[in-house]
Order: sequence, then structure tokens, then C-alpha cells
Amino acid sequence: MDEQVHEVNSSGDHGCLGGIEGDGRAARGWCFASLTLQGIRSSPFQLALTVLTMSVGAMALALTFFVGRGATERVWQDVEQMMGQWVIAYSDAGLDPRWLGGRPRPDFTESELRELKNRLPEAKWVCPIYMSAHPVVYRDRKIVLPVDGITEEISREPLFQPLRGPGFSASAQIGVAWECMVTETASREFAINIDHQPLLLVGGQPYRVVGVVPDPPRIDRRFQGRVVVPYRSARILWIPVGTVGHILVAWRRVQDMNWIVAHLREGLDEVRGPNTYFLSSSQFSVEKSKDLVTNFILLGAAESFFCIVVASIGVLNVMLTNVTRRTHEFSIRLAMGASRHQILGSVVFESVLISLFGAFLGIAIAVVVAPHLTELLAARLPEANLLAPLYCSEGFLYPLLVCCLCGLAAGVLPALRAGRVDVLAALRAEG
Amino acid sequence: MHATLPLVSLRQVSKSYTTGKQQIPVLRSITLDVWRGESVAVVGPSGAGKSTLLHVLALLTPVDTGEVWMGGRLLGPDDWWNTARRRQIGMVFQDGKLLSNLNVIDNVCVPLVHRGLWPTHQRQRAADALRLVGLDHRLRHYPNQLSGGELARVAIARALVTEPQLILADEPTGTLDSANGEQVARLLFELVTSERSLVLVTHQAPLAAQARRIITLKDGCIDHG
Repeated sequence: MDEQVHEVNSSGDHGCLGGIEGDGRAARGWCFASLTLQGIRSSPFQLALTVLTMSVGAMALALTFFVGRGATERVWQDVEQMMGQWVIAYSDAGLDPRWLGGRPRPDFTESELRELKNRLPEAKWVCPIYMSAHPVVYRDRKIVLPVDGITEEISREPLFQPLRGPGFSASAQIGVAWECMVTETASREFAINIDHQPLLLVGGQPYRVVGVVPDPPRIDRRFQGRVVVPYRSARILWIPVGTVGHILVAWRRVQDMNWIVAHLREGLDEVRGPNTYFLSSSQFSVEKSKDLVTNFILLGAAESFFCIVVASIGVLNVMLTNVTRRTHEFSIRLAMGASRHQILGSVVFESVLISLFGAFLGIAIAVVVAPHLTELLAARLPEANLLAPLYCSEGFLYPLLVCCLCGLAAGVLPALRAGRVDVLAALRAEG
Repeated sequence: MHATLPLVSLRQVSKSYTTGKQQIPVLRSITLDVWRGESVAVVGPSGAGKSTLLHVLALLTPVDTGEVWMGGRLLGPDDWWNTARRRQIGMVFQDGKLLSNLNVIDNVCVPLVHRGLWPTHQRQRAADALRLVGLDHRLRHYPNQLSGGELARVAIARALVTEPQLILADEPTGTLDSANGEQVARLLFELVTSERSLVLVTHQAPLAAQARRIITLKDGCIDHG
């Protein structure tokens, strides 16, 4: 026999019993895919339910990103609306005057303003602003109202553009005429007829009312009644000599906010010292909103992930049932020349495909549902009235990725079981 | 008599199954050569080890001791479940063992799917094989729509479709009436050519008598052959 073997092997016959060859790698891939699809077709109802379960998780994850990113975008828009792309530095420590550390006077000085201007060349403006409250008298009514003293450049902002009336004259801007504007709320409270440009006593000084400006957005109703005066006149009347009141810093693009604010803090820390100033809280409320939205996204993503994990258990269950039901089929296929790797791979691939079907379906549903969900939120929550979904790439990629990985994990155990089929026992059992 | 190597050769092959702590010997020191172009019938009483012998030849189960040579090559421990080698053998099971959820042509395509042929090639080959067994009018029928004889012929077409040189048949006519049994037997023996061999296990003496060689198994040993 050994001699015979040597003889045959040297003649080039390597133990081949004949049989046809495959059509190559691409055809093998096609056959593998068709084998997997046959598995999927074998229990369509069960698999459809599993796909639906998976799609719920995928939809939740996609919605989390679509709505969450939409909310983040909204927060950015709010930044512009609430703050007009600026931050105000107040010249006191806010909480505790002891932080001022024995400074003779808490106010910002001209030199500090110049220094900040030099340090923030990218800022749109670094300019003084006056903010305080004074008794305002019109006819027989006297109310204490917030008074804003604004420079000429700030007066060009939409927030200070008069809705009615001509607005400040050039004389008023340089402090030689006494003119003021009132917000819509203040105008209503005093029943001012702007056409007559009546006089108003602001802190005892008579001012001619030359315009009605919009109420500041998103602030408490109590503070919506305001008087706006040119900074120069406020300086003459109420700001101590050598000081500048508060400092307003504005940026050109909202994306620059964090950078500008960080440099502003750095500059103020150096020129005045830490804890000797206070930045307007709107920035922090925006940061808080951003944190809130980020936490919402994280929470939503975590919940969706759990949904997908639960759905994966469903996939695992269905795949195990399928593998048990298809033991006979696998044994026949193995006897007909299938490799255990082919069987194992097809089971894993089937599990991944089911999960991916679920992911695609979930994402499609999320795309359709997201606008309605935001509408529903807007109807229930006035704060969310402008919320709109943002179809970001994460909303598409993460559900696919998470479902794919969960499907892969759910397919391993059934695949190992399928790969360990005892062919003879299975054939005998069915025979 | 034979100028070339045997197609398959068993040397002192033994095989036993374990039930609990008890070992039940099924094959005992079997030595057997199957030559190219030969038809061999394996007969014997129930429990003699006929099916196990066929499964050893089909590489569906490893042997405990002894040597298995295939196409002039000794199979080592790693060769069991060597898919490429098993693909070169055509297997016909007793009751056809067709997949009930696939139609006739898809059932015949099963071995071709695992060889990686394009679907058009698969269908062409399967249709040719089914034409050979006279079932080219039943391509779209499902197994539950076929008679026993037709099921057996589909199983033969499935074994044949990969053009193997060794066809193994386990009781191919066991569940058929005499007319269908004769038809299937005729078909099987027609497949034997100078390059293709047939090993069949049967209880039926008339079927065994058509083979060139008859091997009788008794208690796991070759009693006559």
C-alpha cells in the first residue's frame, strides 16, 4: 500500500476523488449570503417580531440623537437670542463683597477696559455699559425701573432698534441732549404716546422719550419694563469719575463664545484679580441648558442601549430556537459538504442581519416620527416651541453600530451550538 | 486484476459507540477495498454495522483504530470532517433526507451551494442531474408533493450533481414498492462507470445481487465478501 501511495502521489494525484470545483470567492460569498437568507426565510414570523423589537431600540437611539441634537442646536440659537452674542462683566463679586479684598472701589476703570480691549482683539466689541435701577416718573406714576446705558455701537443692535419713534439723535449719543427709549412693557405701563415724545423723569433728570424698543427676550416679566439711555448721559449722571460701569463683550460667531469668555476671565483675573467680577448669568444658563441636553442625550442613549440589549436577548432566543429546529437541516448540509465554518458563519451572519434589519427599520421610523415628536413636545412645553429634529450622522451610525454588535454577540452562542451538531445523531433522529 | 489504486481502502478499521459506561463495538477489524468502476453491496442483519461502515466511508464519523485510505492517501486525524474531501463523495440516504422547505431543484442545489457555484451554474447542473433521473418536470415541486420513488430519485440527483467518483447509498430502496425500487436500483447501477464506484447498503437480496461484489457484515466483521 505504501508503495502504491508513493507511486500515486509522485504522479500528481493528491487523493482526489473527482467532483466539481467552485466558481471562486465571489460565488462563494453569494452562496454564503443565500444560505443565510434561506435561514431567515425559514421562520419569517418569529424573525419579523424580533426585527420589530430590535427596531424599537434602534428607533429610540436614533430619536435620542435626532431630537437631542435638535435641542442642542436650539440651545445655540437661544444663546444668540438670549444674549445677543455678548456677555456682561459686572464689577463686583456678586455673592460676597469680601472677595473684593479691600479694593478702594469695585468699579471697572478706564485702564482695565483698555487692557481687556487689547487682550480680546477678536471680539466684536469690548465696551462699557451702564446698568442700574432708578425711579422713573411720568405724569402721576412713579416706578423704579432698570435703566440701561448703551453706547452708540450697541444701539445699532436689533434689540435696541426702535419699534416706534426716531431713536437717539446724534446729540444724545454724545451727551448733549437728554433722550431715552422705553421698552414696550414700560410704554404700556406709563401709557406713553411716542408721537408726542413726552418727557420722563429718570433718576430726577428729565429725558425726552424718542422710541419704543422691544422687550428683552426670555427674561422675567418684572424686568421687561426698562428705560434705555445713551451711555454718555448715564456716565455724566450716575457713573463715578474714572470708572466705566460694567463691560460688555460681544463675539461675531456664537462658536467663539467659549473662547472669548475664557479669555475674558483670564484677562479679568490678571487685571483685577480672581473673584472681583461677575459674568452675566445668561452664559451659565446656556451652559446649564447644554449640560441638560447632553445629559438627556446620554440618558436617552443609555435607555435605548438597554432596549437594544433586551431585543438582542430576543434575537438570541429566536436564533437558539431556529438552530434547534434546523438541526436536521444542518446535519444534511454537513453531510452534503457544508463546512462547520459555513454553518457557524451563516448563523452569526443571520443574527447580525436580523439586527441590522431592525436598525434600518428603527432609523426609518425615527426619521418619520422625530418631527411629530418635537411637535408634541412643543405643544406640551412652551420652552420647546421652536424645537426641530436634526438628522445628524450619529443618529444613523450609532443605532446601526450598536445593533450590529449586539446581533453579533447574540449570534455567537447559537452559532457555536449549530457548529457542534452531531450529524449522525441528527440524521438518525430524523430518519 | 486492478492496475491502479483502490478508490477507498479500509485497513483493520474498528469503531465502537459508547452508551453510558458501556462500549458497543460496531465494526471490528474491517479491511475493504473499493475499486474504481466497481459496485459493492453491503448486506447483513440489523445491527451488523452496515450503516456505520457507510458513514466511515462517507467521512461522517472517525474510526477508533485502523487506517482509511482515500484516493491513495492515508487520512489522519485532521482529515475527518475535511470538507473538501467529503465533497467528493455523493451520499444517498434511506428516505432521501430532502429539506422540506426547499423545492426539488433547490434541494439538488444544496451540495453546490456549499461548493460556491454561481446560482445559474447551480441550477443548470441541478436541472441536468434531475433530467438524468427523469424528474425534469418536477423542478418546482416540494418533497411533500412527491412519491417515495421520486424522493429517492431526487436524492440520487443530489448525490450525482457534484460528479463524485464515489456514491454511497444507504438502503436506497428500503421504503419503496417493488416497481419503484427496481427503477431506483436500475438508476443507481447505471451511474457506475469506469471512473465512478457505488457502495450500497441494503437488506434486499435482489438489489444486492445486481452489484459486482457483495459484502456480508455480521457482528461488525466481514463475514463474506
